[in-house]
Amino acid sequence: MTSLVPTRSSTLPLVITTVVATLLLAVGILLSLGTGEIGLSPVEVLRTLAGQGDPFTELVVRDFRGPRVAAAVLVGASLACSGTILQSVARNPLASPDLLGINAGASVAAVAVVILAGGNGGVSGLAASVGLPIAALLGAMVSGLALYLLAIRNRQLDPIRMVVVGVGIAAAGTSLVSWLLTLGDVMVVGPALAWLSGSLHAVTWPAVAGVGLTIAVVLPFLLAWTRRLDVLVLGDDAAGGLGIDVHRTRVLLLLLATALAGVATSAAGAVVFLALCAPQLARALSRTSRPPLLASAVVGAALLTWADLAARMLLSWVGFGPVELPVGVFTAVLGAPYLLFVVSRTRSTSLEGRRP
Amino acid sequence: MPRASRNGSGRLLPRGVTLLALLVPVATIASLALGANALSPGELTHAVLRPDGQEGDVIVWSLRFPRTMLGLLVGAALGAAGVLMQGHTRNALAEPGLLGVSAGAAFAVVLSLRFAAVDTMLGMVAAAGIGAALAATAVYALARHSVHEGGPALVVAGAALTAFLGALTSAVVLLDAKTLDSYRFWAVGSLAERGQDTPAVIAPFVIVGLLLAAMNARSLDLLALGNDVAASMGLKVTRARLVGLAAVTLLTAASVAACGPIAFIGLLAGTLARALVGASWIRGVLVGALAGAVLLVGSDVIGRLVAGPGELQVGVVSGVLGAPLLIWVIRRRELIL
Repeated sequence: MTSLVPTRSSTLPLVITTVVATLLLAVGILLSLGTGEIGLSPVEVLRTLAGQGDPFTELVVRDFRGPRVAAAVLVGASLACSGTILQSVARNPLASPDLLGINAGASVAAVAVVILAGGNGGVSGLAASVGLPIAALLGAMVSGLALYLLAIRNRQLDPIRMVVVGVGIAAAGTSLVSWLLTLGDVMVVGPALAWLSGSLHAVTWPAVAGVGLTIAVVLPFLLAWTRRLDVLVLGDDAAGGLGIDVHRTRVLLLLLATALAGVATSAAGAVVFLALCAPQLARALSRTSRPPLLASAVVGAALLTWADLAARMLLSWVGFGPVELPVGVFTAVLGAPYLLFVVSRTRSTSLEGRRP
Repeated sequence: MPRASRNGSGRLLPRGVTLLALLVPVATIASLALGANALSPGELTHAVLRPDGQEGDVIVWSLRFPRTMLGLLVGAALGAAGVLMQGHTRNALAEPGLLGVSAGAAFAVVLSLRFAAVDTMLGMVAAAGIGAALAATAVYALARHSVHEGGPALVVAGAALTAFLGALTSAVVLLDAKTLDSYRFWAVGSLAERGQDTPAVIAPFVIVGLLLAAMNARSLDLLALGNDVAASMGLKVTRARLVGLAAVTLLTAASVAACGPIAFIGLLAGTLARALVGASWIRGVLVGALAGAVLLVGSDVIGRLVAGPGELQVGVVSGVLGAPLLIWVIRRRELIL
């Protein structure tokens, strides 16, 4: 894909970014697998991963921390991919599944399942392992579809209209979620709220497998479509002139972005701002004209792995006891100021695309 | 702006405004009469004119009257705050809920509940005031240069601020089950079970806020010409902005402390105000307050009727009805005022 990035400069920054992010990701995974109530050295973790650990470290690494770390990597990668697609399709650095209300749709559906079907003990069994992800996926799809239909006018996509429509959908979703939360028992509401803030606490291997499968299906397809993403960024007219069916390409890409965000949300809840920041960080570091797909995915995975480690350990490091914050709280506290920075720097004329 | 000439001349107030003023008593009566136990007109007049302790009298005076008063006050506050914010930012999408001012107030209230053990409505209003003022200043400063063009950047900055403060709020709330339990009923935005004396506590804040808003609206008519022109016509621009900030802060803080963050009432009221009286901000504030009161009490009544014998909180009703309005505005209207 590197040769297809239309840029005057070399592809060296892109390669360096990808390699450094991969290294950071690997270090983060090792540290995260080794850190917790029971500390393991990186060497012990590596030995266990190679299948030569004792049963106890194997239990800790594979059963306790394994799903969580794997989920951080995969959720981070799929959210970053989703953000990359949306930012390219909307030609807007502010587009991301959380800001556009796609996560809100997934949250409404998932919380409805938890609260309405859960009784007093929360959802369990088949409803939890299959029902919750599918509900979240459907919710994401519905709000993605609504977003597209409402943001489009005369078959033209106005980037800024898309963002504000998304803010509206997100607001409607948020008020529905608040209402659902008042219906449930406080024992169910606590976990539901933690999930809503984005938490990798209760992730299981089946949920991880779902996210992994989605990425495995979608990513190759996206890499094959890199050129179309490059051309879409030029705007509807130019893209049409270059022989691309803009409308169909956009619908399909939006569908893929929605699926990635929906599945990631079903596994980890609403991890906000990651999908916004990771692509822009990757773009700034690799100096490409639009967010690079593969580098964004690696950066997203690395960011979420480190953020989860910090969210897990921060409060006990500062002496607050073994309490962990949902990782989404952490990404929001770090990511929202970044968004505010982008907004304060962007002139509204450039934000508004082709508005006169 | 183009609407001003059409509505501004001739009649003192357009017909729509008269209709809106008539809707206030209609909504009030509906709010007193309707609910899980609907009262007949006879029972209602009995309760209002000669209460003697019958079941209907108790329902009206101990439950529905405080609730209705609260709805009128909070609705008027949110409506006027919405109009004022739209005037200052010159943005058709500005309102306390969308721009993060309510989120700032809410975060301050949660902090005071958790760490300062504040348990009086007055203390909550004070905390909410500090939070609202800081958030309003922050969002205005951050999107300042897009303000003059009425850019949608303001809405995005507001959404970011809301998300940021929301995350901090849930961090505080999640670490303490007791705060969580009281938070979720307050955060949804509801008029129910807010205490008998809450309307009396917030009334002074709302009234002072409305007076400040009315005073400030006169400057808005000049500010609409731009800071420089307004200054050359003798307006103290900074003072006008600060009075506006004070009014928005008082109105938002009182409503958030009493009912939790309720979005979209300000947006709806502002949109209605502009449709009815055009670019005259001083009438806009009046219409916005009336429209806000009608909308909030109306949403509350709808919430009681559609989900009976339980009820939908007014914040849910306004969110579900208001979001389509936001989308309609962004699709059809010119955003720059």
